[in-house]
Parts: sequence; structure tokens; C-alpha cells
Amino acid sequence: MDAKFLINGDTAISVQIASEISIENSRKVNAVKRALEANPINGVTELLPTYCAVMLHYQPHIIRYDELVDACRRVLDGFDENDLGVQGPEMVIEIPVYYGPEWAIDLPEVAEFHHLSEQEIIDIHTGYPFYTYMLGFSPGHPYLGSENPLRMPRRAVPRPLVERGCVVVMNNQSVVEPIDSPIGWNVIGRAPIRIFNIEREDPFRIKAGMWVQFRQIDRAEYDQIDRLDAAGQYEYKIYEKKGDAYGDHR
Amino acid sequence: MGIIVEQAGFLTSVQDSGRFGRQQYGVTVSGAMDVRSLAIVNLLVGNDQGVAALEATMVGPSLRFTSDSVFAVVGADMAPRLNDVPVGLSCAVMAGKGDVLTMSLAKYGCRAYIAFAGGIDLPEVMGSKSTYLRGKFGGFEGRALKKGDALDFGSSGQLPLDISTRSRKPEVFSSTEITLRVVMGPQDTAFTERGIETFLSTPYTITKECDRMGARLDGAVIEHIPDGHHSGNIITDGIAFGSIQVPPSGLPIIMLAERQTTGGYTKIATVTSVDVPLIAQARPGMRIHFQKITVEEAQNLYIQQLKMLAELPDSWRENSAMSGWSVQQIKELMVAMKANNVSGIRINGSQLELDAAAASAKMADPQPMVLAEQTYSEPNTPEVRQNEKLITSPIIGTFYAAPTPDRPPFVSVGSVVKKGDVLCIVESMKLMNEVISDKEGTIAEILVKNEQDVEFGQPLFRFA
Repeated sequence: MDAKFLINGDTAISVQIASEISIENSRKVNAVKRALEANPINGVTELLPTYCAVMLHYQPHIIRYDELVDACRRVLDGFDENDLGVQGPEMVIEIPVYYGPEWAIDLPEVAEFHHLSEQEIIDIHTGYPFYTYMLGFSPGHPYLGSENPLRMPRRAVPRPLVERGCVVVMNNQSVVEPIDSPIGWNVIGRAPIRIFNIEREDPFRIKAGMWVQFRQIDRAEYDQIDRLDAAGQYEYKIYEKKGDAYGDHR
Repeated sequence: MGIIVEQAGFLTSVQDSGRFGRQQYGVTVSGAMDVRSLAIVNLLVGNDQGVAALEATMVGPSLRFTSDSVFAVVGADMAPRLNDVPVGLSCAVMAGKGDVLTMSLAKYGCRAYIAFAGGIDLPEVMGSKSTYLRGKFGGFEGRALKKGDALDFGSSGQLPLDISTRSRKPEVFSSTEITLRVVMGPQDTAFTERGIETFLSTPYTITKECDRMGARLDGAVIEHIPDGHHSGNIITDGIAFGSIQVPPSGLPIIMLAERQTTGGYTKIATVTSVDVPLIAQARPGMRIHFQKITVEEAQNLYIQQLKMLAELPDSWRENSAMSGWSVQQIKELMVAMKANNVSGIRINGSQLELDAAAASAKMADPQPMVLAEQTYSEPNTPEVRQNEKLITSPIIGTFYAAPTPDRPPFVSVGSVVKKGDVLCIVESMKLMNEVISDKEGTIAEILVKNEQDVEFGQPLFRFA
């Protein structure tokens, strides 16, 4: 497999294997990450997969830059591009969302922008699955992409604080905020679940390569799930994905 | 048993070497901004290099010890004082229960690290005790320290025995400009030749938007290769400690300890690991020059620094004149000294000499014991009071008129001095002790030469 090795100072390199965002490239990135995990390189401390690259953080007193590039090449040379490695079926996580006015402060504006009703926006948001390309920016923060037809740009002035759990959109992307954050995206609802929770043994509910399916709930269900999740008793609905990409799921 | 925060300072938080292993889930590394100072301060008190310590910013905290401990302060000079007696930077200091460590506005540098033998006892969050301020987790309740907070020390049990030799020349940080060595990449090809030239040849100024997450710089715009509306943007990828992002504006941002794990701006270069502490210790308004080196050179420097740190404890053991002394014995010595009005002892090889200073009735307990080696007495000794116009040396050591050889002296003849101003440094066994004016007036005469050895009580300055 072809790759570019980009220097990020004296303790990190990026192994860049693609130059555009696609699910196929994302699967390759995750396959390369799995290959590097299966063939660990002494001195590499951390792997960080992104859209088109895997960043390796390493200790130069154990492995120098040139040696690391050689070691990566050996892993990639033994890598069949058509066989993305054993990865098992892709999983879907269902995220319940309450689109009510208590939190969906920008939903009227988003509907107006698209000349649609608020319910039509909700139907679009819940009608297309989102693929998790990567996590980044803040703990547990998923970069989700979908082929839905939403196209509203970010707000001119970011909101200084959007609460944990709020569901925001920008073009055809969407995020469930893992922590209270400032963000320039439009808020269209709130999920009663904590996709990032340091109290859990595994704090991260959404992982790179997972699919996200939003489901509309009412206020009563929101409150019920919120109570359960706060007590660590909410059972997240996670299931195997049928079909291959965005379209096949619909 | 540990410390109680009496004053929190400007921004004081618990930090260790960082929260590693979960960047793939978006978890910010956080940790100490100046990792070198963190390593040194921990080694001084007998800890491993990456153990949790306090990171104080610009104005240090006041801390009351609730148990005996050994501590050290490394990094920015916030004039640490134990029970109002100056203690040196970069040396192990013994504190007793009830002692109060006070720190003030940094004279140079931006961040000071305070470590305690045994570290700070807090639960780890995802493998680290570092405070992630924006994420509100880790450290002490996920936040900066506040007045009244109580922190416990870890149960190392063992105080370092060779504390008398545990010191190192403090690193002095510039207050005006720094040169940061960088390794070019990963996206240096996104810039024009002129853009690269601009970056490497013109100075940048640190703006006020400068915190644990990053430092935004001002200066000449770095030219991207035109790429429509994509210029300055990339497909989001990983960020390293010291990554220099150049967004479409063309003005660089250096990413620091609390950086996000990933970002979508072009990165022209990365600050070398050994130079990241310099930007961590820099303040808004300072100038930065970037100097290009190769990744091989940067890694050589990194490895040299690791070796230097690894060798520090051994160097102290070899120099330890008091090796073989237990903490209990040192404490007994301190008690005996006080009972006999001995203000200090000097060790020349195996020779032990006692200094019997005119003991002041004001030698109230508990007296902080700096190093056994270091002689000191109260600044307001009777001799000093007898001659209101003289400032005398509080210790035996070497007189330095300036903070570093390349900087102007603290004061010269004709200088108008206020109470609390620093007049000079008297160095004793690598401990830099500032002599602080206890009076106001004009300096009429400096009675000693730079780098001259001075005795306890020897007049240094005469006021008009």
C-alpha cells in the first residue's frame, strides 16, 4: 500500500494513505491501524486514526525517525489493499434525540433555511445513518458524515456554550456533544445519553467506524432515559449493520 | 497529610506528564506545559519524572503544610518563601508541619512547578492525574485550585535522604525574546517559498490569546500556495505537542499541552521537544524567532535531554556530603542548631563547620530549614538595624549583581529602591538567594564587586 510519511516534529509521524474523505478510505485507515496494532513497533506509544491518515506518537530514544518509517513500510508492504483485514461486521448505535423546543433552539431557523417544516428536518436527520469517520477535537467527540440533503452552514457567531448531549448540525454532518462546548453549529435537539462518561469503565460509546442512527423521542422518554443513563442503567441499543454503505441502509 | 491552599494564585492546577493512550478517542493529553521543569522538580524531591505536581501560572499560590515534607520549586521565579524566608529555585527544601510556602508574581518565566516527595495523592482519570481544565476532569475535581482546597501527598514514605545536594542551577527564561528550533512539516508543502522564508526570518509576537491550549502569534502573514477556499485548510488530521498551525489568516498558532487531538489547519512545522518548555515559559508580548533543524538533530537533542535527566539523581548521590544522614538525624540536627543558636552549618568535604550567628530573639519557631548547607538568618538581624543605611548579606556565598551575566544589574548607584525590590543575588551552593530591600531610598554605593565572595553580615549596599 502506498503511503506518505509526514514528519510531525521529533515524536510523531503521520502515515497518510489517502487524500480525500470517503468511507472506503476511512476503512483503509482503520485497517492500517489494526495492522499496526497487530504488528506493534517497539517505541510507538499511541496510534491516532483520522480521515486519511494514522498518526503515530513515538519515543525517539527507542526508535529513530528513519527506523520508524522503515518499520511502517514493512507493515504496509505486507498489507493487501483488497483485504482490509479481519474487522467483523460494522456496528450501529442508536441515539435517542428529543427535538423539542427546550433545547432545539435553532431548529426553526434550520427549517426556514431549507424551506421545510421542523418535522421534515427531523425526518431527514433520523432517516439517514451517519458514519463515524474518527473521534477528535474533544473527548468522545465523533466526526459523523451522512449523505442526507441538509446543507445549512455554521452560524456566523459560535454559541459560547452548548450543553452536553445537544445534537448539532452543519451541512450534512452532525454531532452529539460529549461535553459542554462552544460550537458554531446549529442546535436541533438533545440526546439524554452520555456518549462520553468517565464513570464508565469504557467512557466512549461511539467509536471510529461505527454507524449512528438517530431516533426521535418525546419528552417523557427523554426524562426516563436521562434518569436511567445517569444511574448507569440505560442499555444502549447497538446492533450489526445490514448493507454496505449509506444508501443500502435506507 | 499534605497541603492546604491558602491562596490559589492566578491559575494553579495539578499536572503530571500527561494523559496518553486515548488520543484516538479525542482525549486531550493535557499535562505539564513545561515537561522539563516537571521532570527536574520531581527528581529533586525523589519522585519519578512524570509524577503529579502543581503547575502555577504567573502568580504562585500560598500553601500551608499539614505534615512534614520535602518539596521543590522549578521553572518561573515566583520568589518562593517558606515562612517568609526566601528558598532557592531548583533545590530540595524541607518543610515542617505548619510551615507556609508563599509565592508571588513571576519575575521571569510564566509557570512554576511545585513537587512534593511522594507526589500528590489523587485518583487517576484515564491513566493520569492531569487536570483537563476545559473538559473539567482529572486533577483536583477537574478544576484549578481554590482557597481552602486540601491535597494529600502520596505515600512514598521515603523522604530523599541526600536533600542537601539535591539542587540544580535554575533555568533562567528570557523575558523579551526566544528562538524556537523547529522541524519543518507535516504540511510545509502547502506554503510558497516566500511563505516559508517569512516564517523562518521574521519575528513573531505572542498575543494575549495564549494559554494551556496554545499560543496565537502575531507578525508577518505566512503565504499559502493559493488553493481557492481550501488555502490553510486540510482534511483534519492529528496534532502533536508543539505543532505550529497556520490557518487561512496566515498567522501561526503553537499548539500546547491542552491542545485538541486533531485539527483542520495546515501545520508548517513542529517545535522541537527540547524547546517546547521555552514557549511554555514565555509571556504575551515576547518575540519569537523560528530556526529550522532536521528531525535527526531534534531527536539528538531529545535524547541528550533524557540522558541529562536520567543522570541527575546519580550526580546528587555522588556529591552528597550528608549521604548516610537519615531524615530523623537531619531533624535532630536542626533542633540542636536552634537550641544552641547556631544559624547554619557549612560542609567542606568531610569537615563540618558551625556558624554561630548572633541569634535574634525573633528566631521564632518554626524556622524553615532550607538545606543544611545553607547558612541563613533573619534579614532583620540586630547588626542590620544598627546601621539603617546598610544592606548586608544574609548568607555566605557569591554576590551577583544581575540575574544572568547577559542582563543588566538589578540596581546600580543612583537607583531608587522600594521595599521588596530585589537588590542582588547571593549564590550559595547553586542556590540563588535574592536579597530583598527592607527599606526605601537611593543606592549611594555598592560595596562589593560582581561575583565576589561575601560573608554573612557583610555590607553589600549603602543607601544615601
